[in-house]
Amino acid sequence: MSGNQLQPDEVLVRYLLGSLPDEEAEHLDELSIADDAFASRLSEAENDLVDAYIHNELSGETLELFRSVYLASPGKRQKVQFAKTLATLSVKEQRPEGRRKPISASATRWSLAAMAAAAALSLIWLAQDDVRLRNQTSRVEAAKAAIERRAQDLGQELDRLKQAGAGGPQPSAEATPLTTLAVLLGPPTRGPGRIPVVTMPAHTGAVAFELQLEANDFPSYRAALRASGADRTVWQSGDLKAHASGGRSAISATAPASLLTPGNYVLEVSGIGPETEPIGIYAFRVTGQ
Amino acid sequence: MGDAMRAGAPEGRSQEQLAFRRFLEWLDEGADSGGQRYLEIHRRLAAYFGRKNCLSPDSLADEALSRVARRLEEEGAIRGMAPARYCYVIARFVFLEYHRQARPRHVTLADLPDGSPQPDEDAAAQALRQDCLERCLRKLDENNRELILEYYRGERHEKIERRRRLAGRLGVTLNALSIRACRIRDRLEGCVRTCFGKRANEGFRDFRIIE
Repeated sequence: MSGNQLQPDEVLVRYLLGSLPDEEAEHLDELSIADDAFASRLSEAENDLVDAYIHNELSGETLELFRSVYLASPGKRQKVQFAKTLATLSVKEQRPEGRRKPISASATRWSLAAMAAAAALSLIWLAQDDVRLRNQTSRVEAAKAAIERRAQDLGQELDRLKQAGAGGPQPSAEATPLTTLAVLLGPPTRGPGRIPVVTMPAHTGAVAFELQLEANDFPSYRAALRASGADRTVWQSGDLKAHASGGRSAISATAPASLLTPGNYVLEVSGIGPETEPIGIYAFRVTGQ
Repeated sequence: MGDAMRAGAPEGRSQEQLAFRRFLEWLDEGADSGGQRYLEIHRRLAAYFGRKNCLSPDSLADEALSRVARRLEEEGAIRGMAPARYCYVIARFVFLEYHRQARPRHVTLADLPDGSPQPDEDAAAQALRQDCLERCLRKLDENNRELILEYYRGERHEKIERRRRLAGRLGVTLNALSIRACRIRDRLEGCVRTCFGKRANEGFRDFRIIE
C-alpha cells in the first residue's frame, strides 16, 4: 500500500496518538519504516498535529489523547518544545517589510478599510478561481484528447512495426492487434482521495501514462512501477523530460500492459537532478474488462 | 552507527569500516545517498520505538541497525526483502525483546501524565533551545532558511495565506511546499536535538542568559 495516497489524515492522527486497533497500527508501523511515501506523509502529519497543539487548535478526544498519550513521552515533549521555539523564532525573525508599526486610531480606520478591500478582493479572487477551475477542466479535456491521439499514433506505429516484422514474430492471421491504452493521472494530492481506476480492455499491449506534475523542478524524471504494498519494482522508465499538457507540466511513460494484472499499483516518480528525490506517488487500481 | 560497529581493536578498524561501507551501500540500493539513507532509516526506527513508548528510542534504533549490519556481514547478502523492510523486521524483534525484558518501574504520581498540559521548559532551557535553533538555521542555505521561517510564521488563516503566497512565489503547489518544509523541519529538528543534548550535557558552559 502506498500510505501517501491511501491513509486519510484522521487515521494518521489516531495512529500517532496510539488509538488505532493493534492490527491496523502494526501495519502502519511497517509502512512507517519500509514505505518512503508513507514515512514522509506521517512526518508531515505529526508536525501538523504538534503545531495544532501549540496553537490551541486541538479539542475533544484528540486533545485528551495528545495530553495523556503523546506528551507522556520525553521525546515527543521535545518535539513540542522544538515546535514552540520554531514558531517563536519565525515571528521574531520576521523580515523588516513584514513588521508592523504600532496601530493608532487613524491606522485602525485604514486597517478596517483595508480589510473591507481585502474582503472584496477575496470575493473577486473566488470568482476568478471558479473561472480558473473551469479553464483547468477544459485544459484537462484537451490534454486527454491529445493523449488519446498520441495513443492512437503509438498503436499505429506498433501495427506498422509488426507489419514490417521488425525483429519480432509475425502475428498469426487470427491474432487481434494489440492496442495502447492512454491513462491520464493528475498530480498526487494530500489526504484522502479516490484512487483512479484503469479498466484494461482485452488485447491491450501497452499503457501510456501521462503523469501531471505539481511542479517542473527537475531537468528529467524517472517513473517506477510496483504493486501496492510490494517492495519489488516491476518496471522502470528511462529518463523522461517534462512537457506541457493541459496547462501543466507532465511526463509520459509507456509500460507493458502484461505487467498490470488487476490490483492496486503505484507509480513512483523521482526528479533527477544534482540530488535525486521522490516527488510524487501516483496510485491507481487496475481492473479487467 | 551502533556501538558494535564502532568498537573494536585498531587492527580491525579498517575491516569494520569496510563492513560499514558495504552496509551503507546495501541500504542505498544502488544510489549513493552519502549516508543520508542511513540517517533517514535511523530516524524512522527511532520514531517507531518512540511511538512504542520505549525509554531510549535512539539506542534501540542503533541496536536494530547494528544487528542488520552484522547479519549482512555474516550472510554476505540479504535477499528477498527490501533493506528498509528488513530493518523493520529486525526492529520488531528488538522491540519484542525490549518489551519482554522491561521490568515494571516504580513511578510516583508526579511521573504519570495527568491529562493536564505539560509545564513549559524553564527559561534557561528555552533560551538554550532557541540558541541551538538559531545556530542550526545558520547552517541552512539562505533559501531554505527563508522558506522554513516564512512557512511557520503566523497563525490559522494568516498562516495559510502566507503559505499560499510563498508557494506562488516559488512556483510550486501547496502540497509540494509542505513536503519541502517538512524535510527542512525534520533536518532542523535533528540538528537542534543534537545541539541541545550536547550543550545541556556540557552544563551550558558557553551559554549565558542575558537579561
